[in-house]
Amino acid sequence: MMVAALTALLSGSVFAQVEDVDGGASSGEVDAGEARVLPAERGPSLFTSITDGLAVTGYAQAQYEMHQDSVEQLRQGSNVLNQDRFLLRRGRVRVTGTWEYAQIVLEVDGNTTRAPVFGFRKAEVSLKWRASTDPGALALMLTGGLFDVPFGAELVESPRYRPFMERSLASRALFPGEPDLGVRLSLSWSFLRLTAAVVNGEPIDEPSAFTLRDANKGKDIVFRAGVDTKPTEHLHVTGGLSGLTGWGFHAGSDVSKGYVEWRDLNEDGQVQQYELTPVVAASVDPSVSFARWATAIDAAVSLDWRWGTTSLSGELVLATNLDRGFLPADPTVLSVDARELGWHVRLIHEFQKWAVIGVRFDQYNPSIDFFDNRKGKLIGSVQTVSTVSPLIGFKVPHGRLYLQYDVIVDRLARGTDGVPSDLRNDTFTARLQVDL
Amino acid sequence: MSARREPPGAATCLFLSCLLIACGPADPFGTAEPFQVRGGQFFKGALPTASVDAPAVTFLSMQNAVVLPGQAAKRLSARANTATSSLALALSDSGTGYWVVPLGPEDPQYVGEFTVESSIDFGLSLAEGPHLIRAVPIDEQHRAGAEAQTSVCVASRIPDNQHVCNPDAVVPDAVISLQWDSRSDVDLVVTTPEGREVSPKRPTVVPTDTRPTAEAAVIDRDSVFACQEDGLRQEDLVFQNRPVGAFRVAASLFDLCQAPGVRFRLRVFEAEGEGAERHLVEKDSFVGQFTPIEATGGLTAPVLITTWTF
Repeated sequence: MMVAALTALLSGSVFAQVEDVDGGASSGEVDAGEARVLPAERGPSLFTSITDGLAVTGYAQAQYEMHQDSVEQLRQGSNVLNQDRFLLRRGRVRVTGTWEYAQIVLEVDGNTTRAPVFGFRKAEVSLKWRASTDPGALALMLTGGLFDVPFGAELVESPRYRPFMERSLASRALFPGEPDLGVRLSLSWSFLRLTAAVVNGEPIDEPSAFTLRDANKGKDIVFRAGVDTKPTEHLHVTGGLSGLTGWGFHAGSDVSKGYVEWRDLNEDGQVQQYELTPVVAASVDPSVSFARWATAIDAAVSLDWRWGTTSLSGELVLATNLDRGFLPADPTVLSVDARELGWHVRLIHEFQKWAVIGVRFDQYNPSIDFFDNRKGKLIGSVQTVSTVSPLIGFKVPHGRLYLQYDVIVDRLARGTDGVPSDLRNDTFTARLQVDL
Repeated sequence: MSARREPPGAATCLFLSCLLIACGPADPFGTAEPFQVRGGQFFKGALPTASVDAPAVTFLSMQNAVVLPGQAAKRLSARANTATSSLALALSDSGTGYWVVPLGPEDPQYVGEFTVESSIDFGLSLAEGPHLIRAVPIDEQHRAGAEAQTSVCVASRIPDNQHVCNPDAVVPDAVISLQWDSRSDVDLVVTTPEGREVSPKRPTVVPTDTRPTAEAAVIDRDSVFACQEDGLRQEDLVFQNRPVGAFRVAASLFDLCQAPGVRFRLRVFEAEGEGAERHLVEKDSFVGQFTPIEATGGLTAPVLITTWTF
């Protein structure tokens, strides 16, 4: 093996398919095969040595959304309640530099999803090694920087190729954004795909003050062990087992000053002496780190047949204290761990590259042990959110046009009997994507 | 071929989706309602009407029946019997729907009765004068019981010593009122015939070395003080006794508080009528606006709006 490795290092012709070890998933985002490789098109130049191996790709997604619960009002804190709007969901440009023993991926994104923003979505620097040019040969890649967290199959699926508009609710709740900062080791050998990473645990888009920083020393350790194989020419099977263990952070509070509080006890709008209450200065509330973990299993099978390609896939995830996007978990407040359960199944059929239809059913429970207060008694209740997402898409020149309707069944409202019931918040999205 | 197939499919799907979305509630959160129950679920439409006898409201009361303009977090206390699962609440002749709150724990002093303690927000748009809070008990089968009511009175936004809620209260003889339309620190500045400048920083018309009486004219508040939203954006100089002479009325923009501009309206009211029929009548109104360049933190002279002679 060592001889082979040394031979490969000296041969200078390996890594024709470096994307095999990117992220460990079958649908990693390194799409050099479709990219414009500059030297090949431009011919020899003085800068060939610099641009050799560089590829520029990109895409933009413009869309219109409609939400049943849109209201022309502002929420407390001036957040907009209306969600019926046009938006640039993603506008990304990626530069990939692939050389014999190294690789760099820089991807920037501009969007108007929450506010007009522009920034890095990926900044990966990698060292790599492949035993031979054989596609099934042992390959290793060590990556540092900003990369997609290798947990499950859905999280590392590129939004450029994902048929559905967004990831399932469980995935978005546990990982508000795909990329995080850290170091990753990927291994590919035959049908095996192994990836392990150590990350800060504060991914992009996390609604906290510590996004892409880290408030605690403890890091999140993530791994995925999977397979990617084609038993026959027309059948493609992938699957894997993932795990995560790490530390969340409960932010404490600063020292406060004392003040006088007025409470209008008799509600007359006038100040009486008995309505004044002194609030003494409070000492610092220390921050606390808490443990969290998650495990997931994913599987996918796709079949090429007479009428196109049909694929069936699914993923199941069980986690504790990992929700960071939907109902953020913080066991230090309630002294009770939040156990999260989510899963999805999706069926997609692609008609010979010109159209696609599909449906996804996903379900997420942000707290398996949720209790509702009824007549002063705590009663076990469910907070499960179920979503059925039918989809139809068409290929257009240099891109695609997709339409998706999300039927969302949750417990975010109350019925006339006071019991939690479904909030009417279905959504419709029309998206046009054009690729660079 | 594919290009010809795409538009009908896309258009059909878009049409169906628009139809489904359009069937949704106009405002599922009730954020635009003038009567809002904190923690309650809003339903559009009329209050359910009684269809069974079992669910019943046994107690319904507000601690203070007078509602100040735009007052928030007023407490409503209620109790209902064991057959009741929730309480539907609405304000008579206001709003487009009703609110549902689940029952709380059993009241230890009234066995078999369950409590509801709600905080209610009253909007500035509510008409002044008496209203009824209506409460309908609902059981677990979504059936409504007999309605209960309690009365409240919304005080006038123009200070009238709450005469609209208590006819025995004496209406002030005159009021100069300044309102504006954005979260900006605007001040009403009035110069008396004696040359004394009255503003929220020096709110009474009496000299500094004189102890003001209860009858002395005074500016009632420093609205949006230091850019702190108070919901009213209004300052009033209230004359309990009829003033005499020419008053120079001006406005000063202390801070726009990041607003792009602010428009204001000045109104002058004088009391007319006698006894219980005496009320404030608007005599004139003036409008104007401030731009960012006029936000000087009070360093420049106030903008004169009018000279009003009583």
